[in-house]
Amino acid sequence: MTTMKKCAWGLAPTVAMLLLGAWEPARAATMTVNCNGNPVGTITVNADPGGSGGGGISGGFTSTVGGPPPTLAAAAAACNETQFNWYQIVTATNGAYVDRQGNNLTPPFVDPPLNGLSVAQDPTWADNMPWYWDMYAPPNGTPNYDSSYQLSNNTTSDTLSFSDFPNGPAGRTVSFSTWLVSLNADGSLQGFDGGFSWTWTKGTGVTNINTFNNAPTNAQYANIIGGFASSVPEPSSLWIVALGLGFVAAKRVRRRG
Amino acid sequence: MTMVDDRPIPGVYRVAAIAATLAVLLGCAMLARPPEGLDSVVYRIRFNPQGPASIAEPGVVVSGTVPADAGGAEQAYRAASGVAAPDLGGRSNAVILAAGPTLDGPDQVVAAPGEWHGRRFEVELRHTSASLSGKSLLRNVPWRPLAAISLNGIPAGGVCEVVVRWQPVDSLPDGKALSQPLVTTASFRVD
Repeated sequence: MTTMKKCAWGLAPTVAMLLLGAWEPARAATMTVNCNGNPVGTITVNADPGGSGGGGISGGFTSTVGGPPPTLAAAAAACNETQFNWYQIVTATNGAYVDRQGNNLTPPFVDPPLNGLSVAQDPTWADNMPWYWDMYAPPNGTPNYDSSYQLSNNTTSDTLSFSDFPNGPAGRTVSFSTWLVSLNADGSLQGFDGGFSWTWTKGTGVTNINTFNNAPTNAQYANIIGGFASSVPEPSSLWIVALGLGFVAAKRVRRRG
Repeated sequence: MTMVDDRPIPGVYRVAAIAATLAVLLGCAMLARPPEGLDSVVYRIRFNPQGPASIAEPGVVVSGTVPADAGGAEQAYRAASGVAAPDLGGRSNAVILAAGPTLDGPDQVVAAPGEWHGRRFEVELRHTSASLSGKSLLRNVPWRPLAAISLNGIPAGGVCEVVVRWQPVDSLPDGKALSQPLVTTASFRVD
């Protein structure tokens, strides 16, 4: 009997650890991505303690088809499209966010918002597509442009990376949902390939990572992408915009003179 | 019709014009030449916990190798990190490689002029801090600044020290300090 008691007490820490493990919010997730009924790759994301906001999330989608070695291009072809990106929305927050045009943002809203957050919150340039990584670069000399956010700088031969380390004042918490998206050559949407939800809290980092296979609802996509471009603007369009801005600036200078 | 004012310029205006021209020329010359001991570039080393091991902590090393790019700077930093007080032989020039604190996407860094105090070289790098400023960032990829700073005029014969201060400020270049600076030091020996 004494031996049994000793064994029971010896097992107690293990049982406690197992129970605590079961209760601990998920800090990593993996899911298989299927296209046309066949597996084409894997999404893996992990909570990371780095960054100055207490932590973030990183990982990516890695192709398992093509080659060998497997390639993103082969995975894209298996999904009847050309490229991948992410679509991310803020689903809940206790903070106030304003877009670059000065509009207050109410969840759910696209992250990054059209052309980025207000300059006062984050002056970093963002394109006018609803996808997470920028699909194109602005004209040379555009202030606060960071090439780290270009899709091409987040893609290797077999992996599309994902990384986000939100930040904010003490007490801030933000919940996100992030989908892998299949895109056509012009950046337009071909389809959603599953994704994951997660929560970031200042000082604590990322918790509650959960994967899902469903596409966003209308409230999470169709109803909130009205102002975004549906495809990447042609380079000529960017030049016309740049020329137009230059013309307006020149006119102002002449008027002042 | 073109009107030409051919009246002689009064003497006082002539002197003022010459003084202004000289001031502009002097200013241009000072702008073109970097301050003594300062010829610097700051590389953005992306924070990537899933990628190959990157520079994990702030620190400073002195290297005889001038890096050509961010990759070269990171490589030279790693190579010099394992040496406690490197012997630079008879060199009078070297490069300081200083890894700073983890910064957020929109943060910026500028180097202030460094100077020698006897055998100690001190340099300050000022940076903004979205985190200390309480900025609200959603899409954010952190990075670590790796500054390569020319170290000229090294006094010969003995051990020298390098002190690098990373000072968070509310705006660049001369904004209010947001907290105490992060200070890193390194020493090296010359003949």
